[in-house]
Amino acid sequence: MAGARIWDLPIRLFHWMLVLLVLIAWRSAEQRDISLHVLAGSGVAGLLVFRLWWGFFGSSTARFANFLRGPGPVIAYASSLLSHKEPELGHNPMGGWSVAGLLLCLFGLIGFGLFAVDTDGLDSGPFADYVDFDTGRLASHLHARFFDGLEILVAMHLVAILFYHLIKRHKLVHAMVTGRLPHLDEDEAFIPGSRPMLALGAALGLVVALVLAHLGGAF
Amino acid sequence: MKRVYGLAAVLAVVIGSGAAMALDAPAAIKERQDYYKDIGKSMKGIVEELKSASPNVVTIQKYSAAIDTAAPKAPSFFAAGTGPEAGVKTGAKADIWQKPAEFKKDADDFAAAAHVLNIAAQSGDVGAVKDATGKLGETCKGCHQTFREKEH
Repeated sequence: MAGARIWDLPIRLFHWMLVLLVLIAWRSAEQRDISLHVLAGSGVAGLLVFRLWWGFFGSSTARFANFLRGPGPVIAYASSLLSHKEPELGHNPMGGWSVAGLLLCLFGLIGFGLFAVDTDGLDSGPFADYVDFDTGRLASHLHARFFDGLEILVAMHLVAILFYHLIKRHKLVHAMVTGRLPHLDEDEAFIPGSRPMLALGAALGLVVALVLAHLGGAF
Repeated sequence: MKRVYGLAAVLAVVIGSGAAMALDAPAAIKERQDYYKDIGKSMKGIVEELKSASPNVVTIQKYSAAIDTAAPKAPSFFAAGTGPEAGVKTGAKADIWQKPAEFKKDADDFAAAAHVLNIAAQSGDVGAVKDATGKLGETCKGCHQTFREKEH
């Protein structure tokens, strides 16, 4: 396959599974299908746990230390946003923080969802039994506020992708599907994650997802 | 003189009842919210037991009885003037007062389902309780879907 490798398979699977599960969670919440909603949310929680793991032990472009940059590089990147031509091989200094924002927002969303109780006292998150009704209601409201936040961040994410496609001609969606940026030379700097670490992280995420799905929202 | 006293007494009754009838909408809405919150708490209490490996039947019976007692009172918390026009935050939609027959049906279904749950709970049959709790929950959701603001 032509182009520079920037995203490994685990990151791409994480990304598209996250998109799918968040869409399912959104739709099932709208339709008040709490069983499906908790199932999708459990999947998202598992994905987040994996992403956190892969951010420390994964491929070079997945590691937080490599894409969370200080204010200097971020300002420099922002001020030369329109002038520089070549795409970054990984998250750019602004995009890195956008990813951090999305992940933090998802952690908040899931965190409060675990304890959320619906107004009927019937639908509830997997850990709702550990809090009283009022606390569960509060968690539910905060769960909804974090979803508002997520909607804003996803909208910004999509606008940014559109901007890169239309103005800068960077094929970012193509890269998130194939893992490569076309018309670029193979990047020597890309270092894949190790297989044992991948297996461990995936197992960790899977266990979290299964446990939460088992605890469930319904009785 | 006797007539004057009589007139004063009549006036006092008229003014007094007038004051009682002048509805304190924010207080009534608060009472309604507390009423539903108590039902929510009972419901959560039942659901918690049903989710546990060994449900405590006594706890289920306590909460089921509480809901059964409370449920028929629901319509009394929707006095005219306690809807969106009250000027305080409430999830109660104007439809409650515009479609009284539909609202009454939902309220009746709720009370009936609460009673079925209580009977199941008092029998101690956890399977029947599960079934009845699910059905009671459907009446909550059904009415909320139609008559309650989603974001509240």
